[in-house]
Amino acid sequence: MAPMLQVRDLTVRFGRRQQLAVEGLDLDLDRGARVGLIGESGSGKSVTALAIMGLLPENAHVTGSIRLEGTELVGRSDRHLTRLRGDALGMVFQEPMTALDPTMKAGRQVAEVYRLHGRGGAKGHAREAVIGELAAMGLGEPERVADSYPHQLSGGQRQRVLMAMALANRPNLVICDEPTTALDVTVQARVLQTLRRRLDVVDDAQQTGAACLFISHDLAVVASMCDHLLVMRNGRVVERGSLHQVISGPRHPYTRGLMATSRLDLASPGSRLPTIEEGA
Amino acid sequence: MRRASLVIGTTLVALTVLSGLLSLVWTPFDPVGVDPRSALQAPSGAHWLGTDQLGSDVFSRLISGAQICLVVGLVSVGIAAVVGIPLGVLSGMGPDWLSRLVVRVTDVLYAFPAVLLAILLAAVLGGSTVTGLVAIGVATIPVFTRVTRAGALQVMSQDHITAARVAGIGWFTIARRHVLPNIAPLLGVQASVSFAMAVLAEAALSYLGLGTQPPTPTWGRMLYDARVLLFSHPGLALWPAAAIAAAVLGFNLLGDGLRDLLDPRLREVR
Repeated sequence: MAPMLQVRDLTVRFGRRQQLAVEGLDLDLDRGARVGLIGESGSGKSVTALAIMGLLPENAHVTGSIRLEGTELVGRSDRHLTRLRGDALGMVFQEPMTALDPTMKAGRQVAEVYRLHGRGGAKGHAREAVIGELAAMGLGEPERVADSYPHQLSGGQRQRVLMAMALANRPNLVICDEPTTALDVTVQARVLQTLRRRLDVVDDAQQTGAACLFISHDLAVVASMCDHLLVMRNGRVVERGSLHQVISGPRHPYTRGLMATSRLDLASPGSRLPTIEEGA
Repeated sequence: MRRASLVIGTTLVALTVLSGLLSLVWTPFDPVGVDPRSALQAPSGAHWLGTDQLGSDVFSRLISGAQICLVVGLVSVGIAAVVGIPLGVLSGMGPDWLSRLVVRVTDVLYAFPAVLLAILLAAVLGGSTVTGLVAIGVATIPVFTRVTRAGALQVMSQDHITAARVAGIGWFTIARRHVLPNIAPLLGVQASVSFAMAVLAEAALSYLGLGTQPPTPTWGRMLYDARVLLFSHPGLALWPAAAIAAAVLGFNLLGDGLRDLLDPRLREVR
């Protein structure tokens, strides 16, 4: 059986000068799989995510193939993609402040997605469903949060609201683009725990949970979320494999450097901290 | 400070609106009545602000003038907003070619000042209130298009729009529920500023004889009639000028105050 998401030879160029952002990326995602995509800023992680979502700006030139459940997405009209996105995809963004509409109460934003997908039915029910979802996201006072504007919420609360929005339509695939980068470490751990739990229960019918493409530059975060890893650099995948494989035996010098920098406890006191060498 | 601008703005606008409404049902004298025997009287108990060279009561003409001022402001800003805002949203959210097209057309439209348009229209239709307000309205369309486009472009680049698109929300709903509310404060300010500009433009057009025709009282027309008597009877020019200034200032301050009041982000900072 073909994987749920199959990306082949994805290449993204920008603008008239055809600036290369992603080159020849292959990616398979099965139902319920958790794949991490790591790399430094500008390595093409987010562009890859947006390409899968079909949300790249007009000046982006996409070649290759992206198949979701066997349907080719590259070259599809926006109208077609809009329906597909809402039904099958969800996305959690990096910056929860800008990812929520500042002029709309948090609850209404989640309800908007609910209603769009025919969940919740009548208006009063939608509100109940939203509050239930917010509570499931680990929000202590779901009703107060639902009636708050984004600027009245903390970063962690906003990110949980955002997660509720992304999962409201029970997507098969959730793309998380650095979802915890804007949060501090303790909140980050709790939000990740909730996200893991919610991803697992999302797809009741299939009993597999939602698949997740988790983008981050933080190795520890990815390690706690994923069972497969892709390492990107300068628009190319430089290493891929199971989490264990990549972490215990990194082959590409860049990955080795990345590992070294994330294990600062191994550096002996007084010595220089490990760095990623430029030519690597 | 912000409160002050809202209070002063509301007061001045309310004064203008109330004058206009009051003049519909009551004026001390007929605002278009002519009585040569009592021409150019100084302010008195009967004629609070005196009379002009035709013997009409200046106070009556002044409060009646608020009607035309408000009608022209409302309708012309209405025309500009109804045409300009959708165009701006289209060019801010639509495909690249459409965006360019709208910008070019807007630029061309921008090249014609309201007065020039009014001269063109007056040549075809003759000078009238309708000529004035259509000319001002059409000339204001590109202002709204530009402001809306700039606002829409900025909002469209934010993550919450991407989040809405991911959720499968159609572009019309995104425009209505996410883009427009986010730029509403911007548009509110623009509307009030444009309203002030329209009042000013209407006065200018009446002054030039391209807008509302006599004997209907307008502030611009009153200024025009007073120009020959500027040194002997400065009061005749002073009152309509003060009325124009008050209305323009009022709408500007109201716009400022409204922006702060409407924006949920600023509501608590204050």
